[in-house]
Order: sequence, then structure tokens, then C-alpha cells
Amino acid sequence: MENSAILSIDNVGVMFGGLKALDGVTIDIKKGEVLCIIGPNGAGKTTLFNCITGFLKPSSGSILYDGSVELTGRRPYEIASQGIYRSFQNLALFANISAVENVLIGGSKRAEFSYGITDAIFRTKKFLTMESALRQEAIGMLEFVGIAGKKDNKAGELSYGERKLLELARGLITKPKLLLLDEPAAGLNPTEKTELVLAIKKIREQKINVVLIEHDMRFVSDIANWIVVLDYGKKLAEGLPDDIKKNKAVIEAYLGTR
Amino acid sequence: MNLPSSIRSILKAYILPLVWIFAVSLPIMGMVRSIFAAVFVLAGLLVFNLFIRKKPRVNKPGFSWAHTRLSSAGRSAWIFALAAAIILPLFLNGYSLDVFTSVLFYSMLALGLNLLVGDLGLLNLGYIAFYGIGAYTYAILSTKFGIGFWSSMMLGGIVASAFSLIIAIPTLRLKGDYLAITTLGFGEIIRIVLNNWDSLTNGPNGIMNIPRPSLPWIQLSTGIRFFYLVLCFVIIQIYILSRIKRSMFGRYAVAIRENERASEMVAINTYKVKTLYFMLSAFFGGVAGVLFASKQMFVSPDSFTFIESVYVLAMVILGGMGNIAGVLLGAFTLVVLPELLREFVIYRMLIFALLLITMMLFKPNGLLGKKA
Amino acid sequence: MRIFIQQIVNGITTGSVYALIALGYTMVYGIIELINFAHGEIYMIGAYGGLLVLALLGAHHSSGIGIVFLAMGGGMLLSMAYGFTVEKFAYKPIRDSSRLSLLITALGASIFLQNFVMIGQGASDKNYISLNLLNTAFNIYGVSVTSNQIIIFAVAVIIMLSLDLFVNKTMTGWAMKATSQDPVTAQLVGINVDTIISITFIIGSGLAGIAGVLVGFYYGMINFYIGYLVGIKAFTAAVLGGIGDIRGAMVGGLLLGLLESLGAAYLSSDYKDAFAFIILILLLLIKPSGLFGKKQA
Repeated sequence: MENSAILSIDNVGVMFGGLKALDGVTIDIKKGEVLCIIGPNGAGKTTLFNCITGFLKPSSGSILYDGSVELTGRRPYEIASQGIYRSFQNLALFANISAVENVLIGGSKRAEFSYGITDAIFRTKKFLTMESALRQEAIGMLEFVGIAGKKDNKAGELSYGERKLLELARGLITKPKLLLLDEPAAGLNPTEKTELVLAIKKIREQKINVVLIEHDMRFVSDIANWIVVLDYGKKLAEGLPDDIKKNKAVIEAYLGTR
Repeated sequence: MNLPSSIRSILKAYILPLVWIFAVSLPIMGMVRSIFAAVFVLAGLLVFNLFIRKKPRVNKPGFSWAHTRLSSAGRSAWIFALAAAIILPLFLNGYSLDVFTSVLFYSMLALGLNLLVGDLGLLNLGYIAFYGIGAYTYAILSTKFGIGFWSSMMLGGIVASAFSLIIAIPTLRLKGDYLAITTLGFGEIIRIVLNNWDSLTNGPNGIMNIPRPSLPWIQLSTGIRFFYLVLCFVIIQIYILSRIKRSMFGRYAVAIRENERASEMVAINTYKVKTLYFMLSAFFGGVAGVLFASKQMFVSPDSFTFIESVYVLAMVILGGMGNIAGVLLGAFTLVVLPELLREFVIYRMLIFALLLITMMLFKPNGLLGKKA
Repeated sequence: MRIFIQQIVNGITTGSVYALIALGYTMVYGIIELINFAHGEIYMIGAYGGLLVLALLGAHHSSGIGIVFLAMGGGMLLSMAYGFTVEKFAYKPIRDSSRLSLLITALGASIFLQNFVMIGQGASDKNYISLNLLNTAFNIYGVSVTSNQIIIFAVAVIIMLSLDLFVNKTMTGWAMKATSQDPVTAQLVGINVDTIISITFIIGSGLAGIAGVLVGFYYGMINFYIGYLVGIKAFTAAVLGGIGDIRGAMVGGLLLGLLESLGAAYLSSDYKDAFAFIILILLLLIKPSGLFGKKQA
């Protein structure tokens, strides 16, 4: 049964000063599911993402990836090269270069596109083939998320929604096994939201595991198979979307009636 | 006493700074120069307020992304510059030729340093140390062990990049500020060692009688032949750098410069890339040093002081960070201009410092740098 | 053993000077995260300020202690004026720029001030008057301590204690601490961040100016170039104590002075000036947050 988990977060705790940002959180993310983490502001959702991706070292607990790889204590790039990609709540793009170059950088680390520094200096055949294959694929990714028309625009000049999609495309080209999206729908207009839902559904079909942080319950129940609710750094509840909607504790946490 | 607000604002914007600068300068500079300083500041303020302030300021120094293809204007500019570099020396006297050879040496250094400052946004304040290491490597190898110029060339570069690891390993994981100060300290350490390790470096007297390079069919003894030798090196360096820039290694640097967090997120080992760039930058410095020693036929610690590092840095900044053509322009300007302004030699460094400050204020990307 | 104690005495003397200068670095770094390369030059200008006062008052070999303090006052005021000016004219206009721009501006300011003084005061060494009252040597079991060394140490201790009181006990001190921790919030609670930054520069510069005068008396001569090496050493001291930490800078300065003085005596005096940087590199390798610093990312 344990083997079916792509990520096992076990009893993870984080302390900021004297404050417990995360307090013994345990979540199993099963292969093939779209898991959504919800909770009021300051509940510790982004903190949890930071722990998984190595930007923060948890003060206790362990995070096991694919049944065997311990993630805590590793540097972000090591975790990323395991096949984990995350997006940031307030975006982390390379703003002064074009959209397609953003995606190119995302794909540069893949083994099938790698070449040595001498290949680059002497413009070997290997270099030329790799570069054009990579560019092809990058454009393909932009088409997949639907912004191929803006490929030569600077990332910083795109609209907010386009930038979110670009960040997603940059992630997809890394061929991730696990995709962590921090509030992907925030700030999108209704059309863009629908496109995002479609994109995520297509991503799931490619056997990529998706974990989302989200507020928009309608959006969440559209795509999530499983929901985890965090509150004050603790896991408040987990279950199917419909069950969570009816859960008394969750409703209270959101309405703040305790 | 109630002054009209316009008069008050003029007082505050011009008269107050004027009086203040005069008062502050007086104890150090004396009456005449202080008046001059105050007038200078007043002029600066006027220019700033009347002509520059209205435009929105571009604050963040950017970089220019290497275009896969040169524009035709760009290409003709390169060809023109190359033709000038080949033909012009034939008509120059010995002194001018020396100045232009010096432009080439500084171009090599500035291009090497640009890998760090321009491409990655990391400040190296001891870059000249790698030049010195290269120069001394050749000086020692050739005078003590009889090793030839061409084999020393690679060795000089390799020794310099090996030394660069001493700085890279502890500091590249930390914030950029630490790199600035440790490289500064490193430059000092190297100079102090060169000055004091008498048995190896002959201390402050330096090493003499360093052999000139030779090719089987041609003697590189004259100034003009040496000029062309260095020119070849500059061209090779430009070629290598532009190729690297347009490969994924160049993209890694751009990514780190733009957003380090996002770079880590797409599995780029930022520490490794920075270390690689640091070593490469030192390598070019070392190679330039070997050439320099063979031209001078003499090395001493005096050639490798802190202010030289700053000079090279200023070339990178002036021309356009991250932009190869800009860096060459910077090297050219900062070598030739002081030669033209010989009468003002006492004010040279002062002007130079003002240039650094005003560049950061108005054009942080350099003369040829793109707007970020 | 006697040599050892003698070196400790000498080390505490130079260490006190490093500490005074390191305070300026650490305070400025704490508040705007800038390595103020010009700080070494501010110290040098202080030394010239003291010299001017001595000349104005016509000091002679048997002048009393009062003249020492007047010179210190003069150096302090001149350094304060320059520190304030550099901040207002060079740093403030680009405070929101990238860190790289700020560092380069600081570098430019440093070179500017060096050459400014060189032009105004000449490139050659200038002599501080040798006061009899500072040259009294006390011989304690073969270890020589001069009255000059005692004054340096005493002045440094008094200044550091007052600074500590100022930062921890006054409203302005609290505002400084608040600004260094979170400038945005500080602004929100009504602290005038610009003023606080100016005050920080002025205080830090004043301390460096006093250090400049003390060193002038101690070594007997100054030139426009003295700020460069001492400046980077003092910065090393600040890192040693954990950059941004005021008490750390004091301890770091003393420690660096001691290490340097003992290293010169027992390892090699030729490499005296290199010790500070070797220590800095080793420290960054082992404990980048400083000897007493908390662990940071």
C-alpha cells in the first residue's frame, strides 16, 4: 500500500521563532490523484510546499518521495532533478527574456538535451540537433498551454494569466512526475480558469501527479480527487470533495465561528 | 518669516547643497577648490533636475540576451572594428601601438570579468589577482624551469582557475556581498604573497628576463607582431565567449541572474554554474597574464594592485554589462581617454570615480546595455 | 611569555580601532544591507580632521590632554559631515537599485574620497604631533604600555558602552533596530526611515572619525591611503562578529586585532596584512553567520 504513494509527508513540523507554522502534518499523496490543499490564509500551505521543494528545512518529520527518496535536507535543485516542479504563488519567471527562452531554460537540464561545453564552442552536430529539438519541444509546450502566439514576447510583458500558463509550460518541459501548483487559479479570469482546468486534466492523463493549493472551491471540486484541509499548521480534515464541503469543522474554520 | 514656497524650494534644492558642499570641502580642499566643487555640484544638480529627472529611471541593471543572429548593422560594425584593428597598427608609432596593445590586454581582462559581473551579476573585486597569477606562473616556469610560452599558456589559465576555487567554494553559496569582499581580500593576499615570498617571486623587485614567445617561422619580438598575437587571443576569446553565451550554459547564467529561486526550481545547480563561470573567468585572466608577462618580459607585484581590478570592473560597467561589444568599447575608452587627458593626471581617478557613480545613477546597464 | 603579553597589549590597541570602525560597517549593513566601501575613507578623513584642529590650535609637544579630545571632536565632526554627504548624494538616489549598483556606487565613493583628499592635502605623509603626555610608557613586569594605548582602549570602551546604551535604551535606538529588521513595517508605524538611515551613517562615521584621530596619534603619521586596508580589515571584523550585530562588531574588532598581533609575532610579520583575509575566508567556509551569529539561510 505504501508503494502507491508518490509522496509521503510524515509528521512534518516547522517552527518560525516560537511560532509553529506546521505542526505534525501527515499526508499521503497517492499516485494518479489530483490532491488539493485548502485552508485559510496562514494555515501553512505554502510553507508545506517550501518544505517539499527544499526551500525550507522542516524542524521535524520526513518527506519520502516515490517510496524511497528522502527529500528533507536536500537542496532545491536536487529535489527538482528528482522530477518535482513547483509554481510560485506570486510567480518566479525570468522576466526580461522571451517566453520561449523561459521554457528552453526549463528543458535544458533534461538528459536527452544535454551536451558539453566543447560542443557549444565548436557548434558540433550534437549541439545543433539538441538545440533545435529543445526549441521544438519548448514551442510545443507553449502550444499545449495555449500561448504559442506570444513566444517571442518578454515574459514580464505578458498578462498575469499568460504568465501563470508560462510558468506551467516551463514546468511541464522538465517532464515532472509531481507538479506542485501554488494557487494556479488566483487572478485568472473565468475563461482562463476554464483553460487551466482543461490543461490540468490533460496533465493528469499524462500520468503526472498534481498537488494544488487553492481557495476557489468550485475550481477545486472540478478537478480534485482528494482534499486536505490545513488550519493553524495542522491537518484539520481530509476526504473527497463532497464530504469536505459538508464537514462541520471545515466550515467553522472558514467562517471563523469558533 | 514666510518665504514664498518657490523660493524656499529653490533654496532647498540648490542653495543648501551648494553651501553644504562648500562647507564640507573647505577643511580638506581650501577656499578655491571648494568654490569650484560647490559650483560643480550646482551644475550637476541643475542638469539632473532640468534634463534627467523627468524621465522614469531604469534602476535594475539588466543584461542583454544573446541574439542568435546579429543584425546586419551589428555585423558591419564588427567587421569594421576588426578591419581597423588589423590595418590601423601599421600606421602607428611605437607609443600609440603600446596604447593599443594595452587596450587589447584590458579587453581580455574585461571580457573575462564580464562573465561574472555582466552575466551573473556577481562582483569580483580582486580579478587582477588572476592576471597576476597567470603572469607569475609564466615568469616562474620560464625563468626557473625553462618551460616554453605555449605550454605555459594553458598552465597559467589552469593555475588561475585552481586558485579561484579557494574563493568560489566558501563564498558562492552565500549572498553576493560576501563575494565582493572576499575577492577583494583575495586580491590583497595574492599581492602580499607576491611581495614577500622572495625565494619564489623575488619579492618587490619582481622577475626579469622573461622570454618572449616564439613561433617556428616567425619571431614575435617587435611591438607590431606582438600586437597581432594579442589580437588573435582576443578574437579567440570573443569567439569562445559568444558561443558559450548562445548555448545552454549561457542560458543558465541568464536564469540565475534573473531569478535564482526559479533556476533551482528547474533543476539548475546554481552553485555549480556560478563556480564554473568563476573558474572560466579566472582562466581567461590567467591566460591574459601569461601574455602580459611575455610582452613586458618583467613582472612585479606593482602591476596587480586593487585599483587595477577596479579599472577592469569600470570597463565592464561603462560599456554595458553582459554585452561583449560594450565591454570592448569600455576597455577602449578607459585606456585611450586617460592617454588623451594627460594634463589632468591628478584629477584622473577623481573623474573616474565620479563616472562610476553617475553611471550607476543614470545608466546602470552601460553605454551599450539594453534597458531592463 | 613577555612577548606574548606585549602582543596582547598591542593587539587590544589596534583591535579597539578596528572595533570602532567595524561598528559603522555593521550598523550601515544592518540597516540598508550595503557594504559601505567608503567607510574606510571616512575614517581617513577623520584623521585629517584631527590634524586640522591640532594645527589650528597650535599644538606643541607639551600640550595638555584637552587638545587630544578637541582633535577627536574635530575628526568626529568632519567624518560625520562626510558620511552624511556620501549617503545623501551617492547612496540615497539609488537606494532602490540592485545591490550590484549600490556596491559599485560605494566603491566609486571610496575612490572619490581617496583622491579628493589626495588632491586637497597632497599625496605625501602628514605628521601628527608627538605629545609628551601620550608617550609616557609604563613598564609592568617588562611589558610596555603607553599612555596612548590606554587612552585608545579607554575611549573605545566608553564609546562602545554609550552606543550600546543608545541603541538599546533610546527611542532613536529602537527605531534603528526596527528599521534594520523590517524597513517597510518601520515606515508603517511612523518611523522616518530616511532620517534613521542618515542618523546611522552619521553615528557610524563619527566613530570612524574618532578612530582616525586615535590612530593618527598612535602611529604619528597619516596619508590619504590609510583608509583602504584598515577599512577592509574592519569589515572583516564586522563579519567575524556577525554582520549587523553591534556587540558582535566590538568583539570581532578586538579579536581581529589580537589575532593579527599574535600572528605577526609568532607566524610571520611579512604576512601580517594577509591574516585578516585568510581568517575571513576560513570563517565564511565554516560559519558564515559570524562567530556568534545565529544560523541564517
